[in-house]
Amino acid sequence: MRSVPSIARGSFRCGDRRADAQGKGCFHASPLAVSADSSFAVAHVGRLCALAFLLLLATASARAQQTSGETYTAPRTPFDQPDLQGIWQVLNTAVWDIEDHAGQLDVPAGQGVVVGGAIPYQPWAAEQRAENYDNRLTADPEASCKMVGVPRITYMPYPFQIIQTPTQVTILYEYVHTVRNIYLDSDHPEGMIDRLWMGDSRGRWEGDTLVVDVVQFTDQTWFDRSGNFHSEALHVVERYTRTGPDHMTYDVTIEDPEVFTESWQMRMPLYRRQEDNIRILEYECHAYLEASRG
Amino acid sequence: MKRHLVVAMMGAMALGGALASFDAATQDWVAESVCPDNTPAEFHACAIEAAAAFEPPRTFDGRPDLGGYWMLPGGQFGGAYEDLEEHPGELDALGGAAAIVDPPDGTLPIRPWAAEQSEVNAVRYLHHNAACFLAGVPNTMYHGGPRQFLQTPDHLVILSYNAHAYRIVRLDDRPPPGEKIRLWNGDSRGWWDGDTLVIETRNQNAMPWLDQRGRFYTEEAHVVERVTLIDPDTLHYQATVDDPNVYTAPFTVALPYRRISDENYEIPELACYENNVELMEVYRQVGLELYPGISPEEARDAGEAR
Repeated sequence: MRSVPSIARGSFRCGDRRADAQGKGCFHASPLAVSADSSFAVAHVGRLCALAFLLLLATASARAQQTSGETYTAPRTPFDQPDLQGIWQVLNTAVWDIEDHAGQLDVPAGQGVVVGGAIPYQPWAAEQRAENYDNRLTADPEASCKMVGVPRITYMPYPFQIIQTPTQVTILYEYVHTVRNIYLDSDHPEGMIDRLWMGDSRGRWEGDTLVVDVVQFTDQTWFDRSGNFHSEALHVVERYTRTGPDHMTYDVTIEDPEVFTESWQMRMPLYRRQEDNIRILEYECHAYLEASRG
Repeated sequence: MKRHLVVAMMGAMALGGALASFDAATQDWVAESVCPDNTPAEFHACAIEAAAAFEPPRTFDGRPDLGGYWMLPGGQFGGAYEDLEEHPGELDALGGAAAIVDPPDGTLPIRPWAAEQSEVNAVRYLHHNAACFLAGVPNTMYHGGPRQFLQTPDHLVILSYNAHAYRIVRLDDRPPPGEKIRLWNGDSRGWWDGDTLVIETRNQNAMPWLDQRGRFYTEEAHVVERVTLIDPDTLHYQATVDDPNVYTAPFTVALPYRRISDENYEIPELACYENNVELMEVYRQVGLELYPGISPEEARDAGEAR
């Protein structure tokens, strides 16, 4: 699988001469924006691109893992830190269910993002998860438009933008204008602490990887729309690693001794949005919800 | 009276939240400035002179460095947020001088029907802040509480404590999104005019108000803001609102931002809507409705009917 190179590196051509001349390959690099970019042999190019698209989907995750930190050196910001800036989004079904799941009405089937396949719930917690699943249409915090916590905000079906300064990485999410300020090389506050919907995030660089330690969570958020959950003891460690000009690997470790028998991981690629006019818009969920109530 | 009750409730809640993490009352955090706190008009005149004489600290790419934590004098509420014009202290207001510096008399050039509509709005509808909605431009900039500016070569990001609101100001010349895409905080594009950052905002949905007195605008409003460092710790902020549907002429608001001098300061999370569900029910029970907005066509018709 590793022999399928990244489209973003321009080595996977689809026969569109104009696009090739621009070094762009067959589409604007992201499977989010499949575009033949030419009237030349559109149908032919379209078929090839569709094939490339499928291959990319099938291999993106594996490639991202295999090349993580090995073959790609992230460009640097002017203050000499790996540059993660830009507008990113996942392309998976984790928001519905982070584990394997079959399709159903309004839910696309999907392969899980949990490394190793299953979440190691304690027995009581497995029962709670099942109850959550049964009540998911009303009990999911997303159903009432609340902030969804970490890591769920990363794999919501909305783009997010990363901005960096020498001391701070800030992530601006389109979903209910959620913000995370990741303070670099600093400590979590001590003593009296408030429980936070998005937790308290402290970051550091390990080589080219941004490692973010997040604690201080409420127990009000879920991991997905299927009722996978945690307690206030949740401790999240995220790892953001550039694997190419337009890809990152998002690797997250979940630790919660109140709910799980051991720590576990999720892993998925993040894709850079390629549209020339891409920008973060607004998904003001609670405003729409309140308006619907009159 | 209903308005006063509700506004006082939300003011108390928001103040409580802010004071828990921030001593807004004493203003010990405010650095000295070449243009001390005074009326907005006096500050504005002083700031224009000060800016001309000030050589600002610069970023690596040579731009004035606007980065850091900033706060309006007066803390969480007061002044322009309550009422853009000069107003006395009341149950729901600390009072203050006019924030409008143009027209020079400090009054809004609001059309008569719109002035009447504003009074209706303030009594009948819920203020956007009470519902934890985004505040729009320029209200989000004189909505109280701390804010942080993150500056890069191609973006200025403005993070607000209130409603964890943010603005992403693109420093490029890409056109705004299509006119059907209406946004609570609009679409903002900025550029440098000498040492002043100029920000142009379009595509607002015009659902928030300009102040607690129900002053409003329409989707066609065009807002131009100017942000200038006038000393190491003071920004001169100006916003010019142009919406002929509601106002007979453009008007300009001017305010100081003071740097928060605590080097360890961080903006805490304010989970506004998440903690507001019960209060929203109270608002409904006392009969407050969500402001429905007014379309440009409705505004023009209202003007012609006079």
